[in-house]
Amino acid sequence: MKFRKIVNVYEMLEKTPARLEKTDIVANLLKETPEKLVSIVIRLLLGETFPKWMDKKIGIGTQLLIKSISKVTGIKEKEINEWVREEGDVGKAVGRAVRNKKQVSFFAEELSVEEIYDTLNRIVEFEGIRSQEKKLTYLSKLFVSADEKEAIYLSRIILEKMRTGVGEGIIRDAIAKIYSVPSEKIDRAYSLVNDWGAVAKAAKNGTIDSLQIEPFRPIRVMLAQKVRNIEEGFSVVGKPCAMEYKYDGFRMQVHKVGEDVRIFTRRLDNVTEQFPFVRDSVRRNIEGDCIVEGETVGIRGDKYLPFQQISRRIKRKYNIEEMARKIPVILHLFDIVYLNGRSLLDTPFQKRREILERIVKEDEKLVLAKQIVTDSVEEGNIFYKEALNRGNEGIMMKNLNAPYQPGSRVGYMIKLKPILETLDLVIIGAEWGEGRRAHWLATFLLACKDEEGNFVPIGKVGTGITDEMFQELTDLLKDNIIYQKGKEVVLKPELVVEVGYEEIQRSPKYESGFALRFPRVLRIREDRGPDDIDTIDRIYEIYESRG
Amino acid sequence: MFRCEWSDPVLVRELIEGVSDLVDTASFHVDGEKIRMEASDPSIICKIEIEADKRSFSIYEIDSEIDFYLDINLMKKICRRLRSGDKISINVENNYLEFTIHNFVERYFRVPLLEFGDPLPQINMEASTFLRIKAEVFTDLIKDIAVIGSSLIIKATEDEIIFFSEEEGVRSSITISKDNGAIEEFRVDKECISKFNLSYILSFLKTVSSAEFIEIFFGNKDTPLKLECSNETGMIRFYLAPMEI
Repeated sequence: MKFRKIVNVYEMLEKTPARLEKTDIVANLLKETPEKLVSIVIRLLLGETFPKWMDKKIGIGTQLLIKSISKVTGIKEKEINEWVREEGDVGKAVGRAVRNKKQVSFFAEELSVEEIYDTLNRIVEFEGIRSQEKKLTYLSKLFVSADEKEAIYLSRIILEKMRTGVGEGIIRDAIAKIYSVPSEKIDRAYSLVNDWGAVAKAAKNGTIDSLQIEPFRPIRVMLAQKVRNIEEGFSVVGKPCAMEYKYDGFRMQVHKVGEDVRIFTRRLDNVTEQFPFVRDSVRRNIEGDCIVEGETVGIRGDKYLPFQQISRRIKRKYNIEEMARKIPVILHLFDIVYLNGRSLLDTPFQKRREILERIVKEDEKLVLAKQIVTDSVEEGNIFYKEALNRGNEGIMMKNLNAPYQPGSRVGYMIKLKPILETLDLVIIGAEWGEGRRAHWLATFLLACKDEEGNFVPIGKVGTGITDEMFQELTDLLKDNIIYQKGKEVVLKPELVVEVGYEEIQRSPKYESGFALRFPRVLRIREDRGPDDIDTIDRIYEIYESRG
Repeated sequence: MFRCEWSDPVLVRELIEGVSDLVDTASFHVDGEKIRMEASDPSIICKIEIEADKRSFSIYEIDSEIDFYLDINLMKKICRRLRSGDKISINVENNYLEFTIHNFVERYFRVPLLEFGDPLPQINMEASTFLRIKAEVFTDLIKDIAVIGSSLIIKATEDEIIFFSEEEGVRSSITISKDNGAIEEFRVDKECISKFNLSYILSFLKTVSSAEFIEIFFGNKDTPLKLECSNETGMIRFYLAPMEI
C-alpha cells in the first residue's frame, strides 16, 4: 500500500475540524485497506506505531530527526532548526527541507506503508552505543524517497505527534461504522487488548467477541469514582461492601506465566526490570499463571515512603539493584483478573478476592491489601481514620458483586480521600527562568483535556516548586521540546503533574475557559500519561460544586 | 566453498574501517578470477565498488561462483584486531564466513552471512573532466577545505581546477594548474562546476590512504563524482551524488 494514500488522508483530516467528517475519512481509508495492513494503518493514523505495552520505543527525538534530514537533503541542521521555529512544527520544517533539498541520491522509490513499518520495527531494535547512529541511517533511507508531504507526516509518525486531531474516539467510531460493530463491543475489546490495530483487525474478521484477556498483554485498569464520605460511598457501591486501604504508590498489573513475570504500570509501561525483588517474590509466592493487580508502595521499616521516592524507582535504568535496596517496596495485591487460562473479568469481586487469598502466599515484598467487609458507616469511618493514620491516601470502597470492567469508571469501586481536589494536568509549554533560575525551565503552561481529547491551556505555574523539582522538571522536559522561541518553549504534551490551587475561576485568558488561582505543583505523576489527565468536564464539576 | 589467504592485514584493516564509515552492509561476488564488493550508504548518496584480483592472494580456491552479503560493522570489529605480520584466511561456506588470523596463535571468527538487500543501481556517468593526481596531495587538499567547509565545489577550466568551499561568507580555495607536479593526467573537455558533500569524500579517502594516485572524474552540476584508485591486482571506486549549487 502506497504511503501517499495515507498522506492524502492525513491532509484531509488536518483540514477538517468536524469529528463526523474525520470519522468518515478514517472509515473510508479502512475500507480500502488490505486486511494484513489494517492494524498498521490504524496505528499510523493514531501516531502510535507500537502499542505502549509492546515495549518498543522509536526513541528518536527532534534533533536526531533533523540530523537525518540534514544528511539526506544537504541542508544544514542550523537552517532546519530555524525553520522549526518559523513553522512552529517539526513536520512542516522537515517538509520544507525536502522541498528545498540540495543533495541528490542515486536512487529513490515510492514509499510504501510496509516499508515504513518494517523500518521503524528495525529502528526500535537498536540499543547500545551506536544505536543512535544506526537509527539515523535507517531514517535517512526513508526520507531519501519521501516527497515534501510524505516527509511532513513521516516526521510526525516518528515523533509520535500527528496533529491531525484523530484520537481514540474517532478510530473507535470509524471501526464501528465500517465493520458494523457496536461501539461498546469495540470499547470492551480495546480495554482487553490495548491495541487499536488488533481491535480493527478483529472487527474486520468478525472475531471481536472472541478477543480475550491474555497474559503479557496488559489491560486498562478499572477506574474509581470519587466520593466525599462513607455514606455517599455506600450509595454508589451498595451495602455491604469491601473497604480497602488506598495506598499512596504506583498501581501495577503483574502478569505471570510459569517463571516468566512481567510488571506493568497503569500506563502500560513494562517496569519489570525496575522491580527485581517484586518479580522474584511473585515468582515464588503466587501459584499458577495469573494476572493480578496491586499498589506498590515504598517502605522503610514499618513506614511508607513518599510517593516521589518510588517514582525515582520507575525512572531508574541503571544500578537498579542498588536502588531497589535503597528504596525497598512492597506490593499490596487487591485484585485478580486471570487465572490458569481463564478470564475472571466477569467473576464477582468477592470471589476474585477469595481466589487471590488462595493463590498468594504473603511475604515481606508481597501482601494482600488490608480489607474489611462491612455495611456500617461507623465501622467504615473507623477504618478510614485508621488508613489515614497509617500514612495511606484514604480508602477504596468496592461493590462485592461487581465484575471487573477494564478502562472504565463505572461505579463498581470508589475512592475516598480527605484532601482538597487536586488536578492532574499535562505540561505543554514552559519558559526558561532568569537569574538564579536561568538554567531551569521555570514557568510551566498547564493543560487539561477537552471533549475531543485536545490539550487546552488552563494556566501557568511557577511557584511552590523546590530547586530540586525545577531541576527534575527541566531534565524531564528537555527531551520534549518541540521548538523554542526566545525564552519560550513549546513542549510535546507528555509530562503530567499533580497541581494544587486555591480556587478555579472562569477566565477568557485560557482556551479552556478556566484559570487556576495560586496553582502549585505538588508532584510529578510519572505513573500518569496525558490520556489520564483531568478533563474540562471534571474542572467544570469542581467549579460548580464549590459554588 | 571459497577459501583465500591474504598477507597484507593492514591494507584490509584500513579498507574495512574506511568502508564501514560509509556503509553498513556490502554484497560480494566471487568467481574464479576475482572478488568484487559493492555497497552503498542507506540513502544511496554514495556507492563503493572494490575488486581484488586472485593474484592479490597467496591462496585462492573456489568450487563455483558465489554471492554473499555481509555486516561490514561486524567485520570492522574483527579487522581492528589485525596487526602487521598477521596473515588472514577467509572461508565462505554454509551461510557463514570464517575469518582466521594467523600468527603465533590462530584467532578464529565466524560471522553469519546476511540475507540480500535490494540490488544497487548501476551508475553510468559521462565525465567531462578527468584528473590523475597524487593521492596524498588530493587527500590533503580535501582536508584543508574541510577545515571550514561542509561541501566541496569543484570548478574545472581548460588550464586549472579550483577546489573550494563557500559557506556563510567563509571561503577556502585551492587551485591546481594542469602543469602541477602532482598531476599525472589532466583532461577538461569543457568547463564545468559541481558540488559535493565533503563528509562522504573524507570517509572514502580513509580507504585509500596507501594509494599512490587517485583518479577523479566529474562533470557539470548533475554529474556524480567518481574517485578511483587501482593497481595491477585491485581497484576501489567511489561514486558520490552531487548537491545542487
